[in-house]
Amino acid sequence: MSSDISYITYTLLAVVAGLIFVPVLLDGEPDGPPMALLQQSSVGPTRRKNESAIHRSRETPVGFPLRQGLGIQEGYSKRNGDVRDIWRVFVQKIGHLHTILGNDKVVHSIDTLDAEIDTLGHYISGLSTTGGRKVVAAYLPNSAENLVAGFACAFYDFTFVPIEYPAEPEVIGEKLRMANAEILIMPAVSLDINELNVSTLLKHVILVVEEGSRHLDFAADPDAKTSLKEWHDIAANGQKATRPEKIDESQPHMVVFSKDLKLQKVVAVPYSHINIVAAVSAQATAPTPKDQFKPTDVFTPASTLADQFTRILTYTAMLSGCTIIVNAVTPPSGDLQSSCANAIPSIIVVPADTLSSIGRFSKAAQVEIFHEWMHIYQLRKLTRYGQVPQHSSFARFNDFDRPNLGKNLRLIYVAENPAEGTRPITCNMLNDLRAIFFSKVVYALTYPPAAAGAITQTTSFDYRPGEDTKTFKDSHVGAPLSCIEVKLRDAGEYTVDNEDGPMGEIVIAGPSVTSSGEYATGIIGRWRNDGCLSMGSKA
Amino acid sequence: MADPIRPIIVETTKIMEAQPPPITEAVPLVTPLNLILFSLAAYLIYMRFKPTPIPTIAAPEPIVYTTYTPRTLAKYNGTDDPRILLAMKGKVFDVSSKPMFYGPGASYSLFAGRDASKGLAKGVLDPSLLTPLDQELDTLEDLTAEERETLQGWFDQFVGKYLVVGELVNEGEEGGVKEKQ
Repeated sequence: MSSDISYITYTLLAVVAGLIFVPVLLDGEPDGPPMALLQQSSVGPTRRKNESAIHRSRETPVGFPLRQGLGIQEGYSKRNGDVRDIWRVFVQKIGHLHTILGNDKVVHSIDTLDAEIDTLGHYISGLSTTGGRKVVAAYLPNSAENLVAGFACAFYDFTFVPIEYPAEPEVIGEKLRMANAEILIMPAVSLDINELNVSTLLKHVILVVEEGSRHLDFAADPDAKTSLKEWHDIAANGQKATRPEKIDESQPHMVVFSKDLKLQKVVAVPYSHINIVAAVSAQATAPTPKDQFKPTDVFTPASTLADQFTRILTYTAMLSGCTIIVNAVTPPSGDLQSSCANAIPSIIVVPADTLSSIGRFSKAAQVEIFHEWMHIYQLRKLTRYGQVPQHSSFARFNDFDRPNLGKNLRLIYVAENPAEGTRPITCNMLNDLRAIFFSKVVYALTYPPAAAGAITQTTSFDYRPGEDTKTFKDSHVGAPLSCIEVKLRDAGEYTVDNEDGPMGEIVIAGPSVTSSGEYATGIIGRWRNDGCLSMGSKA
Repeated sequence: MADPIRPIIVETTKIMEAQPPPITEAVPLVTPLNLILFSLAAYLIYMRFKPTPIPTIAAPEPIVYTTYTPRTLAKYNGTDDPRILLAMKGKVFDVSSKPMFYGPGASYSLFAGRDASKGLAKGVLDPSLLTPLDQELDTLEDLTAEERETLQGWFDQFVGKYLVVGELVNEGEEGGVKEKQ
């Protein structure tokens, strides 16, 4: 017998031992508990006849109250708070706000910005308008002024109307008309004011002038049919008002524009303070504790702040005391890499169509066999071991063409808006993006006419591959957020008794929803048996 | 006389007669032990690359919220239908989880499939307190304040413990409730 044991036997023994022990030592932990992915929402035990059961976030199961607000501790009680509290918490947690101007980084003093809120608030309060409630439109790129204008409107109880930048003058005029805005904040000489003034109620314009051009007097235009004032003039010479103690939380604080699927046209949607704080607080607690926004994070909105989802996430980052770095260059008009240049962000928000086109281009750029092997290895890491690929020089060796957003990037937020008519990003495509960016990707469903923030969003560690066939590609948008409850209602051929899982029109309710009761969105969805919402009707 | 050649011959003979050194056998490749180890290694590699189906847990099928009349409710008494329902103050509770109380032959089994409001309010297990199936629902107007309090106590306890799966209405009123919601 002893003659049987040879060096071959020893080699085989070593191989077997290696196969058993090396994975134990090297495989590591998955990014999140895999069992948590099997049932991601809390499903109501009963349902109405033509409706599916109510699905909720597992944070706020059926039978418990939905998340209402920020939960600001005041003495021994907690209150929901409003948008003002987001700024207060940001100042209290010593958050930072930087602006990237080309190669320069402008570090704003929070005290100066805090003072600008008051001077701007005082100036706008003194303006004469015909309407009861002052409506302030902001046609601004992503900038500190954009955020300051939003908070000035919160503190002094005006309605804030962010308008996407850049846009055609006709579009801006249309939006000003829809919101009945009489006051406009815009970069100097970006628009012909007199032309806008003809078709809108516009009466007052505040001009934001960049530092290099401040020696020119833009406010002294003798032909102007509106009052003109420069932002830096207000900030330097304006008086400070005392902030009102109480504001009306049920009044619209922010107006966003989005296409409505039922009306088939763009509508102005008012969000109250209640809607916004519910959406922000739900967003703050949605990721696992490991992935939540921390004061050490650097947040960059790589999407326009006029988009409500981007703004809600920016507020969430401010609430967590992150460093906010804004850049006027944003996709889709700008390039993603330049919008994050010099920022080294750890969390970004990207528009869905930009991200999916980057995914397609970068996938096509993997021309070498090494790229392909690396990608297969990284996908295996994701789907089999639940770990997001790490940023390493080996992974980037002889790299293909992909955006380099710095090594700190850990979380990408991307929101699908069905009203835009884009194609959903599939599960497998999201995994490709995770491998391309070395980052987690959270994919959310938004529908701005219905609710502030996201309705549902995927778990940050959900890397399960999708089943892709020729006719159908698997995609889902995760489970409801903690401020909202979602159910499906029979709509035409889509019924909740379907054998592929309940299908029907998405009906939502909760504090972040724009109407007080239920809101039927007109979007067809399907519940998967893991409690995730899938768009489109195919199983 | 010693022959000087002799020792040499002896040595030579010894060398010649000596067995040739054994040729080392070739290392046996296929031995039972090697085969076992090899198949074990192959199995472990297979397990590592085997595609794993994504597991799913099906959530329990939600119960459809239904409007019952005394007649349609009566069959949910644990004997005719395995589900046990019980009505109180117009709400129908699913008490199937506690057959030791409401199941056939159990102490409260007379309430199964019936409107238990009056019996629970008075705290009496008397079949005569149950409204007959063909009569209008009991409006509970003749209860004393104390009995009302007892009934509310029971109701709150039931809401916390059991699932509300429907409503109990008079016959012919099923449509009205549905429209109201």
